Amino acid sequence: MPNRSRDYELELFNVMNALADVEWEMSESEILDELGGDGRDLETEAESAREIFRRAVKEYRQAPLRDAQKRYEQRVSNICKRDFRIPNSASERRELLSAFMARKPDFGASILTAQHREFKDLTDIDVESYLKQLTELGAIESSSEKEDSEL
Amino acid sequence: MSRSPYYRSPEKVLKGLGIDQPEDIWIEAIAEECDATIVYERMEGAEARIIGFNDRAIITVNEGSPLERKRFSAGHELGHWMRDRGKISFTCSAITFAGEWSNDNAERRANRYAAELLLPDFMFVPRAKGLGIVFATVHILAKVFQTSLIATAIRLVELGSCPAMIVCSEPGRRKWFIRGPDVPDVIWPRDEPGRDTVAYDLLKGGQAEAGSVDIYADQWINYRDSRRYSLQEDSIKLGSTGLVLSLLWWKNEQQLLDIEDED
Repeated sequence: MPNRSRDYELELFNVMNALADVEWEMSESEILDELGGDGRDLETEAESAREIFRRAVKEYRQAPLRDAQKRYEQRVSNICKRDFRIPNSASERRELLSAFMARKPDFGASILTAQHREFKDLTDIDVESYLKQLTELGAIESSSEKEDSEL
Repeated sequence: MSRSPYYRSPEKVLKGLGIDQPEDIWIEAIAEECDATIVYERMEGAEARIIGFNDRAIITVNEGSPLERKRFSAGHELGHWMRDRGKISFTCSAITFAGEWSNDNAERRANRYAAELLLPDFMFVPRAKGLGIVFATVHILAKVFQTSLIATAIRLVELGSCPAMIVCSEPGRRKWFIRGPDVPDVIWPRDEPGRDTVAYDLLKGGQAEAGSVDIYADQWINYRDSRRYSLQEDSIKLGSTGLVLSLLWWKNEQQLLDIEDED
């Protein structure tokens, strides 16, 4: 085993550079002869190369899309795992949401005019969902955070 | 009306994410990029809602709806977020998506945003080129873009190859209509479709065979001498909404050419 560790990346880089130099110095007809010499169909080869380039360009351009998808999955996973510590009873939950809406009348009005004419029309599931989402967004402090901040 | 400083056009959002094919319009990732997280929950009496606070929003979409509806609902709520950030909490029903296309209000603007996001011009035009303005075409394109029938039909009228109009009717009156760019402004659909139209039968509870029919233009159009011309009508009932959607298409463009000559 050699004492000095080899830099394989650098060696590969040098080999590829040397190959590129050779290709660079070849004339167009020499390249075509070389490619066609072993019986390969040049059009097929060219299309295959174009496809590789297209995919590479698309991969590069869509990196932000894949990042956004990863962030989305992570966020949804966090929401699912989160312990929201909202009150156990339906009536306490209603009280909490009602109190929030009283503090933020614009928000309350938009909930009520958009779908439910009156607060009592909200189902227990709606109330629970609103409370969890408002907590997730930081509009309502969760009980655990409140306890922590009181300590 | 002034726009939110956070507003980004659908095309800008798509291009910023390198999206140029319908299958890459991942609505969840797009919304997340715009600081809105989409969650799917069971909802009663509503299709979707959005709650925003500071720089973030949560869009809730009815998990029981078909995929196309869910995508459109999410795009619609994202439209609210982009345009109406700051006064944010909207809850939207199925009738919002079917009925709010012509009045200039927040719901219509959100519908437009969703349509332009999910059916962008630069992807839609080449795919609609040369195709008839009929529901068979709408179904094909709706499958490609995974979008709702109404949104796809509207985009076909706006971006398709032929002069066309889409009219949404309910018993006794016209609910909304949209002209394609090649239809002159002087052409208005009648308040109610004429007795010879397919839409008339459907509004009266009748059935109709799928496909377009040739019909005298005066049965649909309020413009002098319309009786002398014809157009193609393809009408369908919109599920349980009681609405009828009609695609009107000038296969023979003589009426439009004559109007142009009058000018």
